[in-house]
Amino acid sequence: MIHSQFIKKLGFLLVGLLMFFPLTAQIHANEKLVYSGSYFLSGMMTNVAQITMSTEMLKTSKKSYLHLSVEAATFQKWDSYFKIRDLYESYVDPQSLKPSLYQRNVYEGGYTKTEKYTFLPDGKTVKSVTRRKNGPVKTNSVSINPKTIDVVTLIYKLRTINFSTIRPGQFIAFQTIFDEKEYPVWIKFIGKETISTSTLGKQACFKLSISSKTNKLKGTDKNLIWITADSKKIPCLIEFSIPVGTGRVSLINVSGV
Amino acid sequence: MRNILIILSVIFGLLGIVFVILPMGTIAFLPAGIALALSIIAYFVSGKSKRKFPYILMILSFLLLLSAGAKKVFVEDTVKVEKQFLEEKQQAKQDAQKELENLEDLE
Repeated sequence: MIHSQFIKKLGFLLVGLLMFFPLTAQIHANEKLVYSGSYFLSGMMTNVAQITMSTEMLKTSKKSYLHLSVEAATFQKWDSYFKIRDLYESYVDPQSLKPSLYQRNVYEGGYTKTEKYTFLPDGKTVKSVTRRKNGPVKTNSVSINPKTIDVVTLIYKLRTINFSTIRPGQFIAFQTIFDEKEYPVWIKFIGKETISTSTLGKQACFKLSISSKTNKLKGTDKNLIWITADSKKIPCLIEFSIPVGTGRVSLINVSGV
Repeated sequence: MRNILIILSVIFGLLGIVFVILPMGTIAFLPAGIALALSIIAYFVSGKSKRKFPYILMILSFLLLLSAGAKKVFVEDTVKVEKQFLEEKQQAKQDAQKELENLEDLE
């Protein structure tokens, strides 16, 4: 009873925080951020894959969309052992970053999965079409919160948070959809920290901790992201802890930001 | 003592070879370094007439360390550009455009 009341209060607090702190869109087309992904193997960080985040405009006959994409590809030396070619894409409103379409195309060591979520105009429904490996195509309808976003949009939304009004220790709540389920995601603002990057040199960054009600992320304050504390808000370092190990994603190239 | 050191040095050396071949970056330094250290000790604890094998192990371990270092310095992390993946990306974009236009008709 006490526990559920606490959860409710926390929920109200988080929603309140999200409404209080405005999000200022500042994502432009033709941005390209390239990262090197490392995995902690036998006590050492080993470079495993390249992750590319890019944006471009897509025009239809009636509207313009910002196409956000996150691409993960193993380095050539790993391809013979465990090849990864993952593509996560989202088509969003250029101003509000509200998603209309999310696509996921995964190839991981022979395993394939495709997903397409269409955010219907009623704002409460996502139509999903999924296919795993050689399985049948499945269609589903998922009821969502009007503010629910996909994981790609979530990454870009982090760059639009106005950190100047947030105190260390405060949370910001997001609702995301992944694997056809809605998950609450909490972003904790830990504070400012200066870190060294290979491309940008020493950078003052906002340090954030990501947590969610899912078994895909492990530990408290073990999934961290550092975003440059300037107007560009470039994610320059990510540390993650997942059930199969820990790793790091470091920025290696920036263009168009 | 000498034999144990030689056996351990051979085991770590073999492990080093495996890690140098596998794409595991600097991990190979660890077994190769241990193999070198053990072979050096084995060399000094061996009698003067029995130093040939530990000496060979020393040279091999050192070459292993050099190979791991050369791999780290000269082999760049690159992603192979695949035609199929590029085509899939292009197809995904075309499908998305159609899907978005269908979605706009529902509004």
